[in-house]
Amino acid sequence: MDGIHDLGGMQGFGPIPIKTGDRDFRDFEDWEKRLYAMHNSRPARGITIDWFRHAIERMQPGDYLTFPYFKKWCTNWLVLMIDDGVVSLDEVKAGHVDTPGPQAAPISVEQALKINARSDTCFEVPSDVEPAFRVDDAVRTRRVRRRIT
Amino acid sequence: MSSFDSDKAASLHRELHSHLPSDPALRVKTLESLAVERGLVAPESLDAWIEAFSEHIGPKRGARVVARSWVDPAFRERLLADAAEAIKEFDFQGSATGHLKAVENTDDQHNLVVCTLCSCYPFSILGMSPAWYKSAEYRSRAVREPRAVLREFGVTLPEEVGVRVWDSTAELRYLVIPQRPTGTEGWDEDQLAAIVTRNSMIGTDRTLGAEKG
Repeated sequence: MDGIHDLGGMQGFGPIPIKTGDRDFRDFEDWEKRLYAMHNSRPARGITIDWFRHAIERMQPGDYLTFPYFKKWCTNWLVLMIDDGVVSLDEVKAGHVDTPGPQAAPISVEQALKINARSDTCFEVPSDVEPAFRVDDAVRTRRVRRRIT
Repeated sequence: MSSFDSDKAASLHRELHSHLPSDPALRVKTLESLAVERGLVAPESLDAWIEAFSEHIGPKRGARVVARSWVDPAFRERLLADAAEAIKEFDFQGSATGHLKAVENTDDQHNLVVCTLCSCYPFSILGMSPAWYKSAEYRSRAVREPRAVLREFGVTLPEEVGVRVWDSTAELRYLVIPQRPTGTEGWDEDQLAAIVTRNSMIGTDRTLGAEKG
């Protein structure tokens, strides 16, 4: 669907923010590092890469274009946690859960590295269906618009 | 569990819009408080992830892979044939490298990687991407005017050098193999890895180390 995220080839943007945006992870702001760590902890159930991305694409367009990157991710995680049901909308608005549960067990750096190494997900889906098109086929594209609610 | 309901996500974004701290640091604090209180994550685990990404997972891994490809032709072949498999020789496989394609720069061909739809990047070998990679400016312009984009990075491509732009997807990520600079004959893998820049592996840097200056 058309969405604010589909930026390839869109005109009107200015110079690339290289000077202000060239830092490596270790030089990020603390809140950015913390958010990326939180992201890797996956605080909602049933998350897939497609769901995570699609939910970001449903942000308010103005926010999408103006928020710093990890502020988008942070907002998205809050949405995904409410959607999952691990926290309620009211708890997010309050900034605290109603009744704290048992605390999670901490993981070590070695465990984090192992979790990362295991997450090289293969997306191949076996199929015996013949592809509808082949390289060099002539195709006609159609613009499909969907009402965004 | 996740609902995978697109309109529900949009509706929740609207609901939350005016109810969250505007300051990103405070917003992240809210997320962390909720997740910790709910018992979903321990604060010490966040520290562990930060150390993992600061000290272990980063562009030094990619630089090691590139340096090996410069000194070991058999490895280079394996890397070009199936990069996802080849990086397992270093135990570098991980987040977002399940499908990885290595593309090589030559005298008459340059490669540039972008993710026009979001921020796809081979995290396990390059670490978290720089902010400019995720900017609307880079994402929108890289495919339409790659040479102008490269000039902003200080790379002026001669007309006779072609440029190929690779648009990353959720599934398939890319690694640019820059050219080995002249003047590095006899260097060992460690020395070579030290001159491979992060940007050269994205494609926004072309001339490395010994040839610079």
